[in-house]
Amino acid sequence: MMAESDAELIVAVRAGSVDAVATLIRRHWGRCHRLAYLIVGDVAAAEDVTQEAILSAIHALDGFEEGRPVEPWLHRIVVNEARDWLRRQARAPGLVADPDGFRSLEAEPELPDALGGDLLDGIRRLRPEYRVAIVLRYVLDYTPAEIGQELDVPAATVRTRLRRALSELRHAIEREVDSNAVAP
Amino acid sequence: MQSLREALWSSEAPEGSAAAMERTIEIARERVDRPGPAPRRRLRRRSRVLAVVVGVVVALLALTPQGREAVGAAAEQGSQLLLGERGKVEDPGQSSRQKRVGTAEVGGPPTKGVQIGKFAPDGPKIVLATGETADGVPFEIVAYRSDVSEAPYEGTVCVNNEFPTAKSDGGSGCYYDGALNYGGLCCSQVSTTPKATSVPFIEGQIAPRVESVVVRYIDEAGDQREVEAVIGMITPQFAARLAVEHPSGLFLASLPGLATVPLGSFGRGVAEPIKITALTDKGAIVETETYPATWPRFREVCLDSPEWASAQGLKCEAILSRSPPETP
Repeated sequence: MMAESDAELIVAVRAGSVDAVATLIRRHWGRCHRLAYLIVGDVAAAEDVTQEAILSAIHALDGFEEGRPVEPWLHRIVVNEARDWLRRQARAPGLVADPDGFRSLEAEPELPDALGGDLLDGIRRLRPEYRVAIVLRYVLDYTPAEIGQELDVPAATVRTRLRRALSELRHAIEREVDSNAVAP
Repeated sequence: MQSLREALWSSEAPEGSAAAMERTIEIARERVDRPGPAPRRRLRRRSRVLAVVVGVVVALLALTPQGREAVGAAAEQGSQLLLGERGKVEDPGQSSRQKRVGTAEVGGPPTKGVQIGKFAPDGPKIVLATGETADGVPFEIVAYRSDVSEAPYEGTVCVNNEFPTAKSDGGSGCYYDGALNYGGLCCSQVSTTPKATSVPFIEGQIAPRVESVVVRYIDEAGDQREVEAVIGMITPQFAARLAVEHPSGLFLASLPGLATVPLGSFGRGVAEPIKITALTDKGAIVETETYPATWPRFREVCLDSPEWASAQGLKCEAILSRSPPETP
């Protein structure tokens, strides 16, 4: 049996299908959680953010434009929720609610160690706005102009943030990433 | 070799636990199956209760002579309400810096040199910063030490904004010297219908270590916006010239499109809470204030003292017909 498309699932959810909503969530949970995790840097917080984002999306499904790709829309909600989460934290920029959150990954049994702590440690130390910029640019493939529109800042500011973020990440990523591939 | 994009998508970031996902599915199923209040709303209800409690306190205050005076003064100033709530600390997020353009020189005398109420200057007035509102009206942030000597106003430092090209004198006010010993941010006030500019603005006092202020608000379209305020600070250099022992400063930010609610003769009230975050030069958060939605407080006044509210020109029927906003 063919898997239902996101569009078909949304139609079904709108019609009240609880199975469709479960399928939709299971399909997107992993990538949404990854996005949230990259921004908030804490496994449990990322779960909260993901849950909030997905529930917000479901709440807004009635207004969802038919034919529009679901994943980018959902990811955008996740990023916004993650940004909100960052703002709610009583922490200075550059820190996360659980400073050991990234390190706690060492306890995760299924983790590969390809890039390990270098990249993640580097991201953890970035200011929150840099993390958001990095995620939007390099995970969601937004252009600087699109990021600027999303964050309500000039594209030049976005480029500056990306440059600084990459500069700060340099030591963490230089061993893994071809510098040509990460230039903004 | 992999790109950063590939690295970020494929690195160790773990998937959320299956239990968390199943919880989410369970809640979502409830919502789809039975639309209406869901578990997620519990927090918001709690916030609403808090908002009502705050509203009741303010309503009671409004029934005292001092409270009425304060509310009346707010009406005179175009819905400025001195009701900042201190305490929470948040992340600044992103912001768009507003222009720093004015008519006077920073460090020099102001174009107008407005006196705030009875607080006459005792020494020079100094422009701490200049800026421009979102609709292009220049302003100057000015400081001076007042000559008032009686307690508790002795040593009062006035830090205010002036609009040199407008007929209106501007706003803000005078603060007790050293009033910011408690923290970094105080007493934010919003002008929803200012005379000098067509754009609402927010201003408030800041401590010396504050280098930037980010304001987050909801616009009429329901969208969240963020702006970075213009900062005017009494630096050590200015403090010596002003004979100010405990310096402070002022921030001001235009809030284009700010969502407001009509409040009869009281002008317009802020429809949704506004978040103000003060940061150091290194981006560390000093303090955050929440400027609450103003009109729900009038709602409480309408409920508790309808006759007084009516005498003040409050449109209670319209106010009570709205649902209180949810505090984020």
